[in-house]
Amino acid sequence: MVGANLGEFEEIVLLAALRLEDEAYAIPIREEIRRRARRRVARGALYTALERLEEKGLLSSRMSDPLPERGGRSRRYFKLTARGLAALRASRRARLDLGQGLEAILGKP
Amino acid sequence: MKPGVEGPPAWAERLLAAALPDAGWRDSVLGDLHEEHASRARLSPRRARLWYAAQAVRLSARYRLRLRKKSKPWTHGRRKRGQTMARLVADARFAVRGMWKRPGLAFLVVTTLTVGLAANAAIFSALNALFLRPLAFSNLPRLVRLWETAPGTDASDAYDRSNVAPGNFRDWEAQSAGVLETMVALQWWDANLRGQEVAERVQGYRVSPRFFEVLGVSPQAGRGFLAEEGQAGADRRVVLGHDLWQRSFGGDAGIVGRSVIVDGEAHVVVGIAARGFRFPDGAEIWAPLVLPPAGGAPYDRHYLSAIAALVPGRSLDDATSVMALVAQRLQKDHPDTNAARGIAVGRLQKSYQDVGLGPILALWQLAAGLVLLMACINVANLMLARGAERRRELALRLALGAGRGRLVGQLLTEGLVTSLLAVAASVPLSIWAAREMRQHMPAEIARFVPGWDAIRVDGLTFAFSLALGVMATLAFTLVPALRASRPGLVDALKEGGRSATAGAVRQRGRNVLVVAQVAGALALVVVAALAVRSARDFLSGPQGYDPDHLLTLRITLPESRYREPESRRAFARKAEERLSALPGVASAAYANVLPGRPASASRPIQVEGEPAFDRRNPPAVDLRTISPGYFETMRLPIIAGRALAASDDENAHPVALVSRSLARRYWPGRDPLGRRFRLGDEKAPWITVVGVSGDVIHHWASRRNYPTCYRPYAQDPRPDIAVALRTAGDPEALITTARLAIAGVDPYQPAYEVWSMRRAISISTIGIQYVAAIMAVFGGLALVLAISGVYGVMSYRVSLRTLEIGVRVALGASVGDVLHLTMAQALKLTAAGLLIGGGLGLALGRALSSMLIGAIALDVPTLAMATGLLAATAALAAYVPARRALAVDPARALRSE
Repeated sequence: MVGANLGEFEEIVLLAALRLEDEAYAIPIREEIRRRARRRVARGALYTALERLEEKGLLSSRMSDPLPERGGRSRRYFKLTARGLAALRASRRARLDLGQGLEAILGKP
Repeated sequence: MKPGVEGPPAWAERLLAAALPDAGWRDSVLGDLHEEHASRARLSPRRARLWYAAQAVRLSARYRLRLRKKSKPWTHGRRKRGQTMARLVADARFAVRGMWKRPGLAFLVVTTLTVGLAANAAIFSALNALFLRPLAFSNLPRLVRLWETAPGTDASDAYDRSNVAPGNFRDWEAQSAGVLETMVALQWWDANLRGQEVAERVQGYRVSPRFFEVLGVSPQAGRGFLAEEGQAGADRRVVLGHDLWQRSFGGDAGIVGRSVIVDGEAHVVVGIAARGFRFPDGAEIWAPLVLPPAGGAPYDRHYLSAIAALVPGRSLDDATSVMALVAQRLQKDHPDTNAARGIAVGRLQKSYQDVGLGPILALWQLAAGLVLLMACINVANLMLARGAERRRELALRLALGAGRGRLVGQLLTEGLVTSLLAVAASVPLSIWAAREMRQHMPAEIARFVPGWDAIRVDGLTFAFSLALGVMATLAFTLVPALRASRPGLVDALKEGGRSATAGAVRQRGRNVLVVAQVAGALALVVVAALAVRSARDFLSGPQGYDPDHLLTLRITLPESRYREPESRRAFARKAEERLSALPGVASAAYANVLPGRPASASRPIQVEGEPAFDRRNPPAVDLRTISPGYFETMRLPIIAGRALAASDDENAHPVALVSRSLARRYWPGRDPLGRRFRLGDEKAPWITVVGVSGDVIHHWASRRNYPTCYRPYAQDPRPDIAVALRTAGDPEALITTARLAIAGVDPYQPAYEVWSMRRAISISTIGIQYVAAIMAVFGGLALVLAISGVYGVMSYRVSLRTLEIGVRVALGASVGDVLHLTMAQALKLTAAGLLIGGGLGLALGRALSSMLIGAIALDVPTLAMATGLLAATAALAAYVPARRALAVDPARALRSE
């Protein structure tokens, strides 16, 4: 099944990238995770995850034009691929299915 | 600080960039950090920089670890090792980048180390060739040399070991079975070879037929000798040396089987020796040795060398104990000749080595090591200064959790990269130095030093350099690395992280370095000055006669053609006549031996009226048999009595002149004229002293002002003749004419060693000249290193105190006070170094003069000059930066950082 081996952290990163739409590069992704998931992510861990997700074909990236505020360097923008979206959906469904009937204990999703 | 928003710290960016493997990711990661840094820098630039550095260090560490996993997934189980390698590579790359950024510093460091390493490699190449493997025979590990020992004589010289009597040799051979096999005898042979045009004297050896076999060498063409060729009548055979074959016979392979004329007789060439085989003593021709038959062999004439192979499984100790028993038996059997005579057995290689060589090579290697040590100290100083600059980078990484070992490892890697560059750069330099050393040795000497022509930089030398390089790295990086990685975090991280005065411990470390450098340099300079001065004295000091405008040559009359004394007298007289008649020659004279050459001839002396001498340890004097014009031609002064006259011939009463030293030793306080002495035992005739001459320096090491007696050649005509020509102009212009004049007397008779007396002296003093030249180079290097090192340390120390000086001046210190403060310290350190160095130099100098008999004592002017130079350098090195510090406005100095 597609996305069966999506890790929890990978799921979070994919979700953050999805939320940010066209503004998804490393800095805002990290910020989004911090704000929404209330979770501080090590910069290196984030880069590692992004790279791995791209390798798995769940994310694609493109480079922006060089920007002066970046010392003349480009941004790497990420976008979920169809596979990435499918994996996210599958993972979410699996959680929901597993959690069904446990609302009394876990609270409403 | 610069206005506007500053970028992130450059070093951190570099660090990170080096760690990021993929160009695309590098750009985006660096860009992200840059972007975030910019937004933080608006609030606090300082914190932003700290933040950036921390991020960079963390990230680069992470990427380096990841790099491993990605590229070599299968090494997962051995992660530790892979990690280490990756670190090493990354560190090395970082080091190269660091050097690239500061090319001046890198150049200085690498050059300094290169010089130190090359000096060591060159000396080691000599040590390797001369000491570790001078002889290359396949049987070498089993080969031993045997010689006779007697009380009162020391066979420390390789030549003194050619002292085996044929009778003893026969008995040794017969009685040593079981421990030694294939014992062969060798006899020095001055072969006069008639080549294509003129006769040539070649160094030859007469050897037992199994000579080549025992060494384990085979000729390049033809064969060695057969057993029956060791019998009288069948012995007119020769093996030619490779070079001689090329030189005299044009490398014609057809020469094997043909005859050549040696010593006036036809000899069949049976073989050509392999190229490079010149054993022993640079021999170029070998003939079978005919030993007298057992029973008829004499026990009282000592002229053979003996070589044998140990029977497999037997040791040198076995051979020594067996031969000791043989010696005891021979003492009983031949009490008149063998009383107190023993037998020594030594490894072949060691026993052909010059005993003086080892200590000299050791001294050179020691001096070269000292030069390298000083180079390391210089580099360590540079690294300490650099370490101070990098303190913050390192402290930051430490603060972020980098292990101290990790940082030390990185600094060591950086040092290693530097050292490897220096090792590589030192190779061509040491090859050049080894070649210089090899080529400046006259061939006349080099051939007696086994291995000299093999001095070259080989794999072993390279390995030695590499090992030294690694050791040097440890020496110059470890201290700065440990120091820089010491957790002094808070200080280091603070923006004004440079304290007003560096800590006391740090100061002490540098003080020790300054003292060590000054001491090392002075010690080397003292020894170098001593050697140079001695060499100059021996080369151009007074010799006792006039060595200028003197051409000399040697002739050895072969026994076969000059058996009768009268024929030798006639040859000598005719040669003298012809030579003195040459245009440009003022006069000519001859003797058995001339000064300026190691050859000598001595005899036991018995003075009339004194008790008979102890036969086992007789008093010896040098004997010169001369022509009547000898003193005049040599310009050797006659102090009392008369010179020899033509009438002092074989029919006249035996007479002699004695040197002043002989007269003083044997007739102290008395007039020697008219007194009589005997050379040898009761059978020798009494000789009357008719005159006293001045003393000469016959050989700088062993024969200076040595008791000598001069006898008329006519009364004792020896086969050795050395002729001296007093010339009007350049003596070397007459070399060819003189050779031809000798050929005119006897075309089969070559003249050899046709040298000006100056050249002969130069050759005989080559040993100390080499010592002097090499020590002078090392002394000069050490001085330059010490000067630059002391200057570097002193100026760095004073520059560290800029702030302190500012405070002092602000508080009212005068210029004089400040200069006094800085310079007093510099001079104190220098003085301590000079004291230690002076002591060390004197001790080394004493060691040197005991090695080279007669090297002279301390050279005060040179010592004073070196001392002054080092002191002045230290003072200047303290003065210039102090002046610079004083020139800074105190207010500014206080504000700076």
